[in-house]
Amino acid sequence: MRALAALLLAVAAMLPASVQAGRIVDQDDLEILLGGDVKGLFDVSFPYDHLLMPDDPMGRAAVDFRLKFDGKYRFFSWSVHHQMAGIIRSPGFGDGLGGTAASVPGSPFKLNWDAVDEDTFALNGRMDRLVIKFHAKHMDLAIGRQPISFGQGYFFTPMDLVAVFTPSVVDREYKPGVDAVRADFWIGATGHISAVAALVGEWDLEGLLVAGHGGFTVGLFDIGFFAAKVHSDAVFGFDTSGSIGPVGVRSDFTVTVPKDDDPFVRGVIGASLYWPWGLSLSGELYAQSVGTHEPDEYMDVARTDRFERGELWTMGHFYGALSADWEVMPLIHVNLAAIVNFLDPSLFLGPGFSWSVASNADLVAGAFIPIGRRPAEMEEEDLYEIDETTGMITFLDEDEIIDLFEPRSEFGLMPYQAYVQMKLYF
Amino acid sequence: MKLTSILIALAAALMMLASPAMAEEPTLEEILDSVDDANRGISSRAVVTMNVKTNRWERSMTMEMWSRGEKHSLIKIKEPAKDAGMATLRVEDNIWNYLPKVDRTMKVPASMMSGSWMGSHFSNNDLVKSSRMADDYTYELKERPAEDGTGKYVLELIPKPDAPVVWGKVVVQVRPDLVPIELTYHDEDGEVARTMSFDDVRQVGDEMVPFHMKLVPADKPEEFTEVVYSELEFDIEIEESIFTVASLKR
Repeated sequence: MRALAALLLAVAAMLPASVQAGRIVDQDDLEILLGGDVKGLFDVSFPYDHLLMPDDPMGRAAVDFRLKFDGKYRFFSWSVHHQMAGIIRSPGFGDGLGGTAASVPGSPFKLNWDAVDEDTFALNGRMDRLVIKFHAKHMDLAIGRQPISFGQGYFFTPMDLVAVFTPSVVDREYKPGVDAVRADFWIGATGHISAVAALVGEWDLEGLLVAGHGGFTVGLFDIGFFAAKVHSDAVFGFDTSGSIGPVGVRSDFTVTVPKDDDPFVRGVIGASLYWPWGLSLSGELYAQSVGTHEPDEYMDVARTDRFERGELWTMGHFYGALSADWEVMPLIHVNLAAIVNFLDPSLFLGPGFSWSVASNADLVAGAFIPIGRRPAEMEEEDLYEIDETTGMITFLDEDEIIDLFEPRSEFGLMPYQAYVQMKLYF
Repeated sequence: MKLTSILIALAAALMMLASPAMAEEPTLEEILDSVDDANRGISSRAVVTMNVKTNRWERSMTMEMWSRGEKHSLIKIKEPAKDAGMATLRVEDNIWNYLPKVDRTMKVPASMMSGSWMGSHFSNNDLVKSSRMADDYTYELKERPAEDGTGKYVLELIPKPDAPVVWGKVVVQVRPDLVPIELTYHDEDGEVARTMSFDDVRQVGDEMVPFHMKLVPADKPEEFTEVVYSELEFDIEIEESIFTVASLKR
């Protein structure tokens, strides 16, 4: 199995050079596409000086291969994507499929395999799309593994409750699929009511996400309403998007009512503007009543269920974000993303570069530069206790060490990181 | 996103190529309108490839497009593979992009309609302009076809003082059946800046339509951007459901 998987990955890495995949069949009623992509990622993390951080930089090289088999026949369509990854890495650096994507929620339908799962080498695969869709005049029904997104926010997505992208995700091209049944009812040209039931945990009610979203258009604005039950939370919200003059504006607001805790709110407003000479700017302001304004409480927040599941990635209360993208030359873009926690204060900078090397090949490179106060220093003696009577040394467990760990800003927790990724499509 | 937003405008530009022939002597405004957007208001479906060639690189994109009038259109990208499945819908003044890889439908602001497409020789104004030449320019007939139907219309256009155009002069050549032949754009010094030519004229229903449009910058004659139809249908029945948000995702 290990050898076969390695061979498949090696063959995959060579595919784009020799294979012109695409539409196998392209007729009125029947369309079949076979394609995919291969991505090579190299990234390096530069730890800051702290007892709990490694002494040396850590690196990773990953090859992701996605084989796609999509099609349509009359009133139904399908999408089958298998993703496999080979990863060579420094011990402890990243995990999961490629280590570059959003976290994948748990599911009783595994549909994945691990040929190798070692500290320094991993070879694994996952069925990321396996969905069949039925299309009627005013309704679509999709059953199977598929991406699920709600809301309008770019950086901050309070309405997006599954497989959320965090700022440190390098590759945001595909949102991981989740096992779901989705029905969309279409009303007129722009109205809809969508209902989703997705497995985001074990095979029980606690692991079930049930969500509904309805939307319509008034003038130049789309307005939507949202209700969901995810794990033990009930979530209600609304979203808008539209234009004011040349400026695109958007917003999401949600109220989350936990089963055994106080409700909290999350909201984002944003705007985007594009200039004809190739510059685009997009900004957002975000607030949430969940989280904390005390940096030394961040680790408590980070250990709550919603953070561990990946539904939330912000630990403070007030944030801003700004991104700029400039087409320097026809095929070359440079961009800069900045996210600030206003109360720490701390800043996350993400400069990047992309080059369309060929019609079906892109090269991207970038870095993550956190700016903020680093965690309080710790001494080795903090990590163990000595029984004064017996002289026996007892090392603290992970939770006890985390209790001692004192963050002093949110983004100051993060190491510097740099990456280069080559993407080939076929 | 910018790419797909440009495609909406491209659809309008492509549809305007399909000028209906006019049997009687047209007015000058009608000649200009035939070049601008004569086919707006007629439903159509097309498969179009845009090729960009410069000295250093080439790019190509193929898309399927449906349109009805100038306010309803749907564009789906077929090639290249990395963009396949992306779609753009225009309904009245609302425009949405659909990104299938992340399952997101995004509203497109008006300002995103500006900007260039991958360095093609089409400026965005070429694609997105909602103005008409007959409004932005004063025009003069320099040449007309002979009575036997040979020859062509040649109009010289000078921009009005307050018109939002960058050219000093535009020379428009149109066949007697109102199929555009060539547009020559001059800069403010009177030098030719670029030339857009139309050829491969075929009959589609009752219309004569150029299936090939090529834009060549005067200072780089070996470079070009071309638009090629591989399929084109006019006046077809298009289901109302095509121009809906549902179609973006199908």
